[in-house]
Amino acid sequence: MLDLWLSGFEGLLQARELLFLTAGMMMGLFFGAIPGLGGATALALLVPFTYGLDPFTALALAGGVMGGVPMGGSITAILLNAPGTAPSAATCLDGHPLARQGKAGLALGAAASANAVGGIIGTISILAILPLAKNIVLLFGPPELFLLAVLGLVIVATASRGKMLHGLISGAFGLMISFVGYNDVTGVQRFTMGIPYLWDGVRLVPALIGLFAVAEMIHLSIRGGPIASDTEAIRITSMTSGLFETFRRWRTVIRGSLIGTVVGAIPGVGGTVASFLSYSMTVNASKDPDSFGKGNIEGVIAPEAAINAKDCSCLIPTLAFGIPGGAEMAVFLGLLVLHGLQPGPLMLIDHQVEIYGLIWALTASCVLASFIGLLLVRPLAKLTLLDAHVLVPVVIAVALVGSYAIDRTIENSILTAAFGILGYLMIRFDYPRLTLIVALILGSTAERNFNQSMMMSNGSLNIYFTRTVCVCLLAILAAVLLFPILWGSNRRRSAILAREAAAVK
Amino acid sequence: MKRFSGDWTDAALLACLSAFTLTFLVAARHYAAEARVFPVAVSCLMLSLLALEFISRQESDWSRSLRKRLNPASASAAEPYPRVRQLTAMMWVAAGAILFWVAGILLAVALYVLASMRFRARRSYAASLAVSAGVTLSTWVLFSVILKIDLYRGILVGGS
Repeated sequence: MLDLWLSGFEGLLQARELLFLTAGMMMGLFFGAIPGLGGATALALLVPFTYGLDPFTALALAGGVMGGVPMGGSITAILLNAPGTAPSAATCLDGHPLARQGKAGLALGAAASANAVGGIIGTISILAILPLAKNIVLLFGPPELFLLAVLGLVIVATASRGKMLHGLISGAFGLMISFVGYNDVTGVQRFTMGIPYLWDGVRLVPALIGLFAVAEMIHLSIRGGPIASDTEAIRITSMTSGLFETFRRWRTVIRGSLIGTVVGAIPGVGGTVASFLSYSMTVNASKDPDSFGKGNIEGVIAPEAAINAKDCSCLIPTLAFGIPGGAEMAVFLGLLVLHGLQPGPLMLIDHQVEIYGLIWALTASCVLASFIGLLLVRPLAKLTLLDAHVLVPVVIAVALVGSYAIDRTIENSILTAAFGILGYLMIRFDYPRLTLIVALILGSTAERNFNQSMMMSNGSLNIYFTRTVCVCLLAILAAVLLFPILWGSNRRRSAILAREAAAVK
Repeated sequence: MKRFSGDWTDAALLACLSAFTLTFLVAARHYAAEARVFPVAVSCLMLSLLALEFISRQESDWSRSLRKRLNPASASAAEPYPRVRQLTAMMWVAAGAILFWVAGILLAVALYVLASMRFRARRSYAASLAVSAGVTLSTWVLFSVILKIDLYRGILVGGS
């Protein structure tokens, strides 16, 4: 085991890998700082450029991006009250009030060190969990893998807070798109409408670029104007004391990191839940809860530690089962597929060096981004003054060219544009895009494993009720589907009882 | 059932999705049994979900209760921006893709960035030209020179 850890680390210490890691981290910082872009967009734009790279270098680059994004998001959250990424919104609650009190440096320093420490704790957790995960995934055969794919999809759909039905519709739509092309069970072409480009199915990476990068650009261009308000308020002092503040509040850091690790391992729940949960638990545990929201430094440390710890544990469902933990991980899955690394149980066995390399890259990027981010505070904050109409055509042009470059097919660019428009319509009508992309990724896996299960059982569905793991997965599936409905009903009942009680008084 | 809670675009979306699913279901009938079992199952699931969405969008007590359980946050999607602006933004992307296909990548990048800067960002011709030239040059250097990728030349000049 130690050998593998060290091999992964050694692989990362090559000049080329370090260069790509740093480039990725810088890109992550920039994309993280601009509200509306974030990690998924950065990775989606980056994927085509990794085509010529070996898998290890591509993973170092991706790890760099994923590690850099949270710090970029925190800088604009603290200075401008404009979170670069959704999870950083929790940092705004106390980070911006601190900045307005002239303590921006303290908040930024604390955010940077909490980011770094959170990343390290997340890494330690995943290094402890991965060997166990490897043993668990070996228990999974085709019936379990089919149910797991369905479960992953349902978890992601129901995790779309308040829009479970839209999530499920989006998932079913994604499954339908995933059926286009060659069917590897029967060897027939399906739903291609006679278009040769679709024989290989709807290609994942151009679809991802469209759904995340182009759709966000359409949204940004409709909003128009500068991305954030002015940067007059930037006053940065006492950054060093902020760096040490994290270590003085070690309980908050550990609590936040553990929350991030647990929440990150649940597909679809994402960093926003991790950061807000960590924030609210810190408020509840505090002796002075009233000071939160007015500039309490623990209100910065708690979400920041959770965000980076979550980034590491998100890798567990993504790598072990091919079920992405969030939008960023969905795009990351596309990168893995592009490099011939098929996520799933075998990946934990066949590509351990690459996985450990990625984990080290992510950790190194978290630590590096925290300190380089502090040096780049001013230029990063000024990025948000860029006019959306200037940024949009440049990013769209890069997205369309990058999409073409994947396999030198112009139809990729057209597919990217089509998915960009589809992605915007999904934003407009409030349908979660993540569910669609997860379905697109899991569709063929689910169908293949379903067909294999049917072959194993001579066409009987009993196979799903006679295997222990299958029964457990079915029970979890039922719970996941029923929980939001029953929970909503209980909340309503409590509200009615509270109203009645108030009326009696 | 009294009234549909969303506006006509929500109803149109549901109609489009239903038409798409029905077409998909009809197309699936032509495939062998093993090849169609999964697509048919998913299509039927999709139709059921769309029916649930339609019912939950009605303004009856039962529908409202269903909406609260299944889709509380999506009861009415916001329409914060004018429709023309939304349509224009989507058309720009579609036009960009067509331009790529017709004029080839380098010419399309130059024209697309120039047109967007001039007519959408309302920048001066000089600034628009400078940004357009910069992006086109970067594209050429990155893809053609560094990554050694032959950039598509467009159907107008017989590119493939």
